[in-house]
Amino acid sequence: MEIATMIGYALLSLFIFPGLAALSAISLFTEWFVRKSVARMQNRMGPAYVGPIGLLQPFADFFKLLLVKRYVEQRYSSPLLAVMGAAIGIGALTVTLLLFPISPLRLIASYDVIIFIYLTILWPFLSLIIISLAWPNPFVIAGVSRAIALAIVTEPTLVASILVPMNIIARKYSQLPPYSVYYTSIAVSRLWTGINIDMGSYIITLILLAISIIASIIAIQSKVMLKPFDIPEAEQELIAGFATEFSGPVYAFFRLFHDMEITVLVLAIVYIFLGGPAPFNHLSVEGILTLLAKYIVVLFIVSLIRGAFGRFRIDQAINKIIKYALIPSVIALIISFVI
Amino acid sequence: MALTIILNPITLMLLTSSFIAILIALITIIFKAVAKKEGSMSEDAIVMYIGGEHESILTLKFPSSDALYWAVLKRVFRNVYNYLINSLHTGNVLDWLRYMSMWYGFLMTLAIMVSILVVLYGW
Repeated sequence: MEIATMIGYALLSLFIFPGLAALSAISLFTEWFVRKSVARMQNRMGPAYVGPIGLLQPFADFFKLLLVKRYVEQRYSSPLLAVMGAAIGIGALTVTLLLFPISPLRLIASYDVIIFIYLTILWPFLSLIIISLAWPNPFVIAGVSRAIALAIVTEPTLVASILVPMNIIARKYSQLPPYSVYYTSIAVSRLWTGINIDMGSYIITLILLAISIIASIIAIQSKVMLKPFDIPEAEQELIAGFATEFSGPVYAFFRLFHDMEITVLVLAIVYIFLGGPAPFNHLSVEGILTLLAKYIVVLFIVSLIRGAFGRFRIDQAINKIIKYALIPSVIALIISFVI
Repeated sequence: MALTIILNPITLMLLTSSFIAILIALITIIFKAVAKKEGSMSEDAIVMYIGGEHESILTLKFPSSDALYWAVLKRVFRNVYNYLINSLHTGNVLDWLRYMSMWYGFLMTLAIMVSILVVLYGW
């Protein structure tokens, strides 16, 4: 393969699809969906004015913050550091998509789940801390300390639940490169359909997959700090937590980063647990519609939880995550080694 | 058509990190190109937002060593004070008499002991 072709694929995947441009658009659509669905649950209108049924409202908000609003500095702030912090998160989440089958340039390696963890769990979290501490404030410090407290139980939950389908596939299909995001996404649909698996093993596999999906949705809810795990930005007591001092373009990039985190993690569930467009392929109308339907269903569940729950205190949140997500996902992971 | 590249994990890690670096540079350039700073830097603009309080309130965050000392003393002596109140101010004069005679008895005993020791062994 010519080097120019590879660079072309890399540029296309990094900047256009599923890179920065497409991921930004999908993320802003995701924000619209979450806002609109939660608003309907709470008997409100939600975004309604810009675009059909308010579809372009997040785009208008983003470009207004980026191009029209000005950012206000304070004595200890470092806007450039804050934006670079957001850029680290946006960059890491964008590059994550190159590990999935959705990308024209697919980067694959055995055990690339480590790189997935590095890109979606480590960097976005460090990015959040860098952004926050670039604009120091007592509310920010309190918000970050709560976010760190939540991360101690959230991140292991996410890792354990993602490893469950990877582990099952690595044991059942030993001819495939093990613990690869790409091959797991391709092969996971066979676990759901039960091809070449005996009935007892099939039922246990389904139970393990169901447990790990529930655990991962709870972990995502906590990681992106949606209700009931939004105590790090509890506005009644912490103003806006780590986002207290953000304004203008800095806030625009921070919001985009936050939306991208929801998008990439929901896409990760759709691919790693549900097989993406399976049983169809990407380049078919049925495949695209199936992928979209799975994405919207998972996103709706996330929105439903956000709309249905009140806020947990930090100790309640940690207890609930340990009880309903961390322990089940670790047990599922241990069982997946045994079957 | 998709281009699939199978790498080893270390190369993949380096490649993805370099891609992140490119995106960081791009976003930082976009920020520097379009971002506008609030022009007037008034006093309100340069102080951090602490719910309308002045920054000096943060000095109250850590108690001084004096405050810590008095806090400990107060906590200790609050028990003594409560004990005295409960023993003396019960409304019953006999309680007062018992308490005072107990103390006077103790002091008298102490004075007698010290006197004997002084007489026997000198000052």
